[in-house]
Amino acid sequence: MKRKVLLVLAMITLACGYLFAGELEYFNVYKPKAGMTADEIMQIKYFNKYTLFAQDISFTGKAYFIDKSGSTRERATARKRINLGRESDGIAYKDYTVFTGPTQVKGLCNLSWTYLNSDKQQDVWLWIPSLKKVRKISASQSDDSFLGSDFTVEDISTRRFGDETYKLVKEENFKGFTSDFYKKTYYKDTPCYVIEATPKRANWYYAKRLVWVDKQYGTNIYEEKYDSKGQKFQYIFRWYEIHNVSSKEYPIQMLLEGENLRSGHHTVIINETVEIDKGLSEQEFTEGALSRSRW
Amino acid sequence: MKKFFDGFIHWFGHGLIRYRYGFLSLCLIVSLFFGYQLKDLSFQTNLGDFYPLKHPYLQIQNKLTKIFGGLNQVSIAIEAKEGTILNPVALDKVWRITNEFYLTPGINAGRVVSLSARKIKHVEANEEGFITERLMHDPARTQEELDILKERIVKNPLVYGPIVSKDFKATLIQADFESNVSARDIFNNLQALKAQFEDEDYNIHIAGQPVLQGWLDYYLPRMAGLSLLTLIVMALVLYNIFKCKRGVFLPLFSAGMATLWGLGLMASFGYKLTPSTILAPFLVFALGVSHSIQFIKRYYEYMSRHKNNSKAAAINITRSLFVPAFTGLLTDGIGPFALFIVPLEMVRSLALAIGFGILSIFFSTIILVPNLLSFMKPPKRLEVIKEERETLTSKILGYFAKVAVDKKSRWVVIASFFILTGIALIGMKQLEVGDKRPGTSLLYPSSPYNQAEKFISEKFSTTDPYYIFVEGKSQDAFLSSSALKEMDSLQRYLEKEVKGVGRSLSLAEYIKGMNMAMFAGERSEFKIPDNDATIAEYLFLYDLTAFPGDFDPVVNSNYQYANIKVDLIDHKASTMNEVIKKTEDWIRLNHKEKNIDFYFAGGTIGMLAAVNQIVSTMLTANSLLTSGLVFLCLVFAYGSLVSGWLLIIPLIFRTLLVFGILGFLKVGLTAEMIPMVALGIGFGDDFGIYIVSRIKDELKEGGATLENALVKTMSSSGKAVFFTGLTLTIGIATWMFSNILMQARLGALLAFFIFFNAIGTLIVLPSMIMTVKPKFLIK
Repeated sequence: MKRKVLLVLAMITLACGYLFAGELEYFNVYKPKAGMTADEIMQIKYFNKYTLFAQDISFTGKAYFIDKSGSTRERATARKRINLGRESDGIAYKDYTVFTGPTQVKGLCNLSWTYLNSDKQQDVWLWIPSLKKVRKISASQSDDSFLGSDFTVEDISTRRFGDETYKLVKEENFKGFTSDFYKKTYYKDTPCYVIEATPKRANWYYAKRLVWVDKQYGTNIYEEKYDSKGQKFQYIFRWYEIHNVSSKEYPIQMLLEGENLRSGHHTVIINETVEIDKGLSEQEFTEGALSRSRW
Repeated sequence: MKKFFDGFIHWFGHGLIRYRYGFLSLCLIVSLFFGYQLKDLSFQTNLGDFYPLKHPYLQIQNKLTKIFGGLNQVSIAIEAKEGTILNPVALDKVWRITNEFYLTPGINAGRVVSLSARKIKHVEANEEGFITERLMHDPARTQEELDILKERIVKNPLVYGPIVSKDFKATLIQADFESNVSARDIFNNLQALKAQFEDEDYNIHIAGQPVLQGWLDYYLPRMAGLSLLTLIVMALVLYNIFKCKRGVFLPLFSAGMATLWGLGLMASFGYKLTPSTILAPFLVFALGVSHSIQFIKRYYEYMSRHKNNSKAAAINITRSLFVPAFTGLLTDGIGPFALFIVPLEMVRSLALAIGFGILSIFFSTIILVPNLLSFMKPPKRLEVIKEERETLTSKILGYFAKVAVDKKSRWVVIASFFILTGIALIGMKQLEVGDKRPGTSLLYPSSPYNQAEKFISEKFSTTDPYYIFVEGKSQDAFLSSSALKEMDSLQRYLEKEVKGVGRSLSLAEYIKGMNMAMFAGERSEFKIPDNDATIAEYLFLYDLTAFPGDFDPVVNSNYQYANIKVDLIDHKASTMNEVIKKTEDWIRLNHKEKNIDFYFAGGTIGMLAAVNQIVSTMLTANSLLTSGLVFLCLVFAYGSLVSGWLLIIPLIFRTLLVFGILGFLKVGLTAEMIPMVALGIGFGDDFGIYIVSRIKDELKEGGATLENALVKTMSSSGKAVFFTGLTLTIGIATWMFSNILMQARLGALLAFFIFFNAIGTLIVLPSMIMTVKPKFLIK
């Protein structure tokens, strides 16, 4: 009986892990190897996307929204995440984001808990400083905008390994991406896997993505989205900085740049500072902590 | 001076025939040149042509479009023929059309509005907080899903009414395209969508400015088809007048050349065939034919009296008709010339196109007609007799002459004329500016476009938006509680004070809605918060959940510019004037916030109000200018002030009569009336000029008394005037068959005005001449 219970628990854990980032264990570092299948490469890619290799991570950064005419809106944030991957309450990780700019909204905070079970919606709370109120709000839908950017919520936070099917299209050296923001070319001639990802959901807002995954670190450095008419309508570029923590190489995303090719609208998200595995307490990710926050 | 002119006309008449081969070759070469130029002529509709773009209201509209988009907004209504749209099939159509829009290149995704649009959210508040989700992320399929959707629609005032009709029979999808997408592409796309989604159970109605432009583009080439009808009708009329081939083909040929030259000139200057300029060739053709009739009529008269010599006849008619034809064409040209003061491109381009045509008619009538006549064999005796024999027309004209000669009866004519004009003044008081029918006045109420507009207007009350532009003096101006409270106050005032206001929408509604959600959905919290920081946070939260551009229709991205959209139930001049007046009053008395300013009037209402203002001021100004110029022209041509008064006073009275009739018939004054009056006055005096010139000629030849000269003139030139008026009327009346109502209305009014002028001249002018007995006639 005991063995059966353990087996069931192990299976649940595996299933949850698979749903999230395949069968990879938290707090390890994974890299692609020659001969891996598209699925295996994408599992590593998702593991890296959600920084599941780290215990906790904190960023300060800025986001720029640039329209076709060049008019720019700027936002500043301080973010922190604690990775849990805990089966007991099913919590995968907790995120805390505070807006530090523009000045008028300084101190507006957002707390979200993400669960291992992809069917379970995130729990999200909001701190409204001028009203001194915490409000529980609904989780954004996957195809909603992420923080008012060109990216969708799933582009940044909710798309999971199980949401798509994958096909390895080719292996090639990436042609390089020249950032409009930094005027610098990244990843020129970097060996990549090119994987075609097709959403399982019918009539989704994109028909397929072509994803360039860095062969060395398993990070998704570039992707293109295509609609049902076969037209490319968006690209997203990501640049990762490799941080050595406890002799392990952590690929940390420092720049994210994308454009909606239909509207000509550009979004740039940069991380200016990053701190990894500083021993953040879970107490910092509670409703109470939200209402105590002062910025 | 007179001697000089007589000498010039003598020299011109003889020179024209002496060098007739040279003149004919010149006409041929120029025709070939202009024929070649036609390769560059194409059809094009620009809705901006119908509005005074420099008017302050249009400037406001331009600012609104530049900042908030909406230039190429289209509306698609799905109507269930049976039952409601709350079923899986209809909702699937909504979902697919909306999705199709998101995938269309050039779409302004932030302005797509429908039940399944990404920006249309359902918000539900509770004690803990609130949930926000797409109102219809996927089409509802089960009964439970349908019930939930219905409940959410009914609860949401931004959806129930504006997006779903109150009876659930129809639902609206709105989209906006970038300004670089052509109206033709949008129109074709929408027609394809209509064909795809309309079936035996559902109607699809499509409206919006690009759709209107698409329909105009569609109808425009069909107008060219009417030229064949005009040609046939003209040929029949000419045959009825002259009963011979040369009487038919010569005017058609000469008018054809004038039309070709006019079009060639238009093409050379880069003009396109628009809904207004396409009328010019018709007008030029009719005018060319009508002037040719005078020449050919005189030719037959000459041939019946003198020996059969075509060359001599050609010289003689050139000498006799040079002054009236030249004066007539000059006054014809005054109409279009005076139209240049009207700040509407539609009117100006029409004026220019007609101006080119009139210039061409000078060559085709004064040079080509006598030239060709000189080559022709003299007509057979029978042909002359047939043409000269007495007909019903000549009998009636003879009667008019007798009435004028008799002292008593001519006073009866003049008195009747004055009394009718007096009655007309009463009718004129009932004139109202603007067209009050739903939809556009450019097309018929029964047109598919106006039917769609009417349907959408009735079901969703969204067709006649009035925008107030609110400009902040610095960015973040609308993060201020007092600024939003002022906007809210203006909205409530207009909703309360103006009967024709349906509902209004601005940033204030969104902030009030958000505040209510923050306070557990308490109705009492549907208000603007007092704290500026709260407003900033609310706006930021809206921004966080929206894609770039989703909030653009309401406020711009740095919160410096906003707008208030007020839906009016109609676009009657009285409703428009009232809402504009009340806005002005409110701003004057209540606007205190120094960091923002209110500007009006934008939207369809502002554009229509601007046109109405132009019509009101320009109709009188342009009529006076045209009359004044025609008067000066007449005085100059006949060297007498009396000649000017004699011809212009009846013309002004006839104009008043026409407006009196329009007033009694409750026809609204629209922009087409401006060219109608200017051209009507300009062309209308031709008839008087030919009559007066002929009387002068008869008196000059000696021996005749004024009475005899008048009787003779009426039976000869009078007949020509009648037929000139008739051909001109028929040529213009063919516009009535156009699918474009603006053209049909202008055709009907101008044709009526010109025929009324021709008949009026034949009845009243002889009596006036006999009463005044002007001395300039025997000079």
